[in-house]
Amino acid sequence: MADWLEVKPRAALCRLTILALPLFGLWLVLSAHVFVPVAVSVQSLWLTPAYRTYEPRIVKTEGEKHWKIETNLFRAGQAYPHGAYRPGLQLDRTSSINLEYIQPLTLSLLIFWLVHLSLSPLSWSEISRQGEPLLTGSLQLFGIFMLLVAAKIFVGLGELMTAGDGLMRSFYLDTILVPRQPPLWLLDLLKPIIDASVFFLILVLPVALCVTNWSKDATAMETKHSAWTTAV
Amino acid sequence: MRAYLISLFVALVIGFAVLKSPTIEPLVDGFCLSLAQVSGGIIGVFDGAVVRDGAVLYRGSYGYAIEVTKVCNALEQSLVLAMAICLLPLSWPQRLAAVAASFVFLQSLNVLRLISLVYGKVLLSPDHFDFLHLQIFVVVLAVAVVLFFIAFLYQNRHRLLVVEGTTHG
Repeated sequence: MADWLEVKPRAALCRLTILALPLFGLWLVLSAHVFVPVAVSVQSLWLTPAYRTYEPRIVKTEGEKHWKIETNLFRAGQAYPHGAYRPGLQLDRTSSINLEYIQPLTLSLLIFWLVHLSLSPLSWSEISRQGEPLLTGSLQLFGIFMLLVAAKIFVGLGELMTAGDGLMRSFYLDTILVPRQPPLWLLDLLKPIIDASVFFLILVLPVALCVTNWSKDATAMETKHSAWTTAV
Repeated sequence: MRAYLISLFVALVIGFAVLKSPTIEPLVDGFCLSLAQVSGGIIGVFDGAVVRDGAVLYRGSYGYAIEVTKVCNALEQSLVLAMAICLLPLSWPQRLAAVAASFVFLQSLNVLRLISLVYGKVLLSPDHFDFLHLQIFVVVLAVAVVLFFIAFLYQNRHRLLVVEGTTHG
């Protein structure tokens, strides 16, 4: 952790001020039009076959700010024993669940670009010549973002099935319904892990990636400098 | 570095499990109420038209109200910063002082955010308010956490370098 700490704070702050608005704009555009739509499309690929009975769809309707999963619990009812399915049963309140806001999860990319470009010991021309650490870091963060969205979907669907089960029970008091659902303890265990992962992804990993890159940059600079000194 | 990151992740999982547990919920609600009280109190100094009803703040009518809920209290960001600082190889008085400073820094920023949101609700269209609330302030808080941590590392670089040299030496 040591060798990047000698960064010049005034220069770093100056770079940060210059970069903040353009990078924020770039992030807004990319997250809304690239990162989140790509994530939703990829997630749908595994979601639909894995939960075929529930016919899940990831949707965001006009005017809504968050993405949600809609499922068809009527169809799920058909899979239950004892003829539990009854057409016309209203389960509107539990037929969808918020995935909360997916877009803030991509904040890790903005933080990574900001910190990497502002506080790197290299000049911007050297950073742009290298390019590779920025791209690799962004891809790694995007990969973790996809995993987190998948985990959120899993927990969301699990909760939906559990809530749906509760409601079905209240409708069919005399019928024993045993729907397929993940165990509650697993959902309870996953929730703090997902919460921690979200903040780890947004706040910790970008800085950790930058520190790793800076250490490499600083070593490269030192090697270059000592080679130059020797040559002179 | 790897050991630090793994310890931080484990600490965060435990921290979030505690923070979101039903036992802690009344404390978190009380904290939200205090944030609303502080924000309302500060606004009250220069604007008597803002009313506080529990954790709800509004100006004019209830249609322009904002409520300080669990997701508005910046406790999660404070927790991440506190854990990241506590796991650094520094003395405990230094760590505790830094955790206290980080908490005051983040919560001051959060109170400013809440005050801005009260006026944002009145002055901005719903779309612009959502943009301020869900995009700008989320980014501002995240960047503030990261910059505070980096500034803290920079301020303590000599101590950290000594500790690192000792550990590896």
